[in-house]
Amino acid sequence: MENQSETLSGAPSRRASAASPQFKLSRLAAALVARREASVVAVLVVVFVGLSIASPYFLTVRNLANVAQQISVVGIVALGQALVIISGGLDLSVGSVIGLASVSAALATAATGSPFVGIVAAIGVGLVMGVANGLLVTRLRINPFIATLGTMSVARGSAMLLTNARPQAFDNWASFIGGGRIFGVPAQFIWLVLLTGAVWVFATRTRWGRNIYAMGDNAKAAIFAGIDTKRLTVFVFALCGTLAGFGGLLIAGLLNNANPNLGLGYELDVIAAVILGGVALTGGRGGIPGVVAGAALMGLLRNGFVLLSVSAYWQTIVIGLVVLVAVGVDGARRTER
Amino acid sequence: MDRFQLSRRQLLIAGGSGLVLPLIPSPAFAATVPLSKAAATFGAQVAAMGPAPKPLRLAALSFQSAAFWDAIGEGITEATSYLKPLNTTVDHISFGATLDVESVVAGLNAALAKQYDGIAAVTVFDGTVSKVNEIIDAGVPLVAYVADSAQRSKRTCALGQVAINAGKAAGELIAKQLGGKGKIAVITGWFGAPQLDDRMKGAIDYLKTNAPGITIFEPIENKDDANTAYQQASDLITAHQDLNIIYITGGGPEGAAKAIRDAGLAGKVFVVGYDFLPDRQTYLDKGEMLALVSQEPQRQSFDSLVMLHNILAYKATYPTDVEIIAKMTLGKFAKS
Repeated sequence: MENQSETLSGAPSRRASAASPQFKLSRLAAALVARREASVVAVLVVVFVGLSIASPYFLTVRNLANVAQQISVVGIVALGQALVIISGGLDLSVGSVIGLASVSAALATAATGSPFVGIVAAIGVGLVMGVANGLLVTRLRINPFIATLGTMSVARGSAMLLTNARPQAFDNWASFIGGGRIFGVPAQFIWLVLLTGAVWVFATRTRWGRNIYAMGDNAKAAIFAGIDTKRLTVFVFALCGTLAGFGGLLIAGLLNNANPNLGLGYELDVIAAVILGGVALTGGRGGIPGVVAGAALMGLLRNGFVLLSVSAYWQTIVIGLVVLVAVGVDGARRTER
Repeated sequence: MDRFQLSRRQLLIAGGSGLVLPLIPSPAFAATVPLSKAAATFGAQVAAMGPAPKPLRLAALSFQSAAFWDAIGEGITEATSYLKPLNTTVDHISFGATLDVESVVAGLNAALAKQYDGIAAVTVFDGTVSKVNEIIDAGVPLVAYVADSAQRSKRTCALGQVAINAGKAAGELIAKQLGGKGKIAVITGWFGAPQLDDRMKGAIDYLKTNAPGITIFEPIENKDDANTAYQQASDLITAHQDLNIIYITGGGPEGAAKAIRDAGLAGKVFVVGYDFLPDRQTYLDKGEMLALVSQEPQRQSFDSLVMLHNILAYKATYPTDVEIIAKMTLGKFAKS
């Protein structure tokens, strides 16, 4: 928007040329390049084209469906994490909430015989954990890093306590939510698309969404502007927890099985996807599409490594380098401007 | 052992010198108190030689973070019931859910402070050696089970599976199944985890030597996560359409089996993994899983405690290293 107003404030002669298609295209290109997620999208395109050339299996329907599935849960949870980080917080508990939500779904289904109750349990557990995080941060004034570090442990321990660390079967119609396919498209990916659209509209087209950016950019100014930052913080953590709970449900559905260790370490993948996607760790800045692009880049790389039989040691190095390059290029561009 | 595959003492040298023996009851410690039905069912090999002349207190130390450790707990519970009428009580002490040397040392310290007569513990880390030696020097016998430290301590006895031999057994099964020709992928839980590395090495070395016609793809890591195993198996099936077997050294084989099922390749591509759990039965029955190598967790904890009872009450002696030979739970398509 800033670029647009700068352009429109030009001289009359420039206004006349602004009508030409070339000018519109160049303006569009400049606006795209200026976006925070431009770096990750550029790397994503390069990796996609590279893999298309390097592996004959990459552009097959089956493989693209694999990739779509692989990016979905990380992408969905990253949507919530992005809002938390934009608001100035951080949620380390999402991986453990995935595990707790998955076993809650299985146990609730087994106890009641109703998969619907299992769905509610998974999402409800995520919501409760998210609200708890929000209250710890706002009421007890615990730093989000510390608060969610604590709930990360509580959630994982609860999952183990509830199951005696044993995997639980989750094989019923509800597993279609995570493991089904609609016209060959993984259901998980459809959820990702729908939720991305919903979160994007929320973040950019609603007052609450804009308030999250305002709060992350300058919390004190947001309070002076009349924003209820405490309520907003609880809401953002609740949304993040709910999406993590839903992620747990999706994985349990895919595997027909809920394991208390599911989601172990996912918080790092999720945070990496958010940062890769151009969200500033300091809060206040970042876009939702970039977050999905970040998750997609990581998923594509992992898929490509297996297709090309890349040494696992190199895989770890390359993923680290890609994160550094994408974020580093973005930082360099910002410094230039 | 799911995501907690850990280092254990390399018994190859000891095996070569004849120190490693299968735990077969001998006249020296022949059964005098019949095993319970449950203990016999999970394959317990050591029976008590009789009641303890004076009350004995044993500590059983283990982790508590995966189904494997739950099975270990079942063996401890069974031993507790079995030994109670024999004047021996057993306390189950948990190291917690985090598998690190500090947790093990803290558990051993607690057991020492509570003055138990004997201790059975998973002394997997080298950092436990001095503490184990301190316990032995204090006159308390200690049986290491599941996994012992690579650096040798003074422990009374170590009971467990030799990972490299288990890997070799998996390799033999794969070679037999494929008739010496085919393609396999390897998914390991964590690179650098000695027990998993040995399981990988045992199978790969066997196949390279005895079945050179089998192509082995570059190993990949799934961090013992079933969902990651699902995604990786999906990619492997796509990239290598003539793939025969996915060999998984750690946790999450059910994820790979589900990927095979979802791809409609049951009976064509198989998973070979470790540790039977009830939720894996369906994949054995339907054919996505070819075999699971068992570590007999219940037997390991049960036998360790009964051995301690016999050592303390009857001065029984046991080999310093007792290997649990790998047993296979075979699936529908396995060539027996």
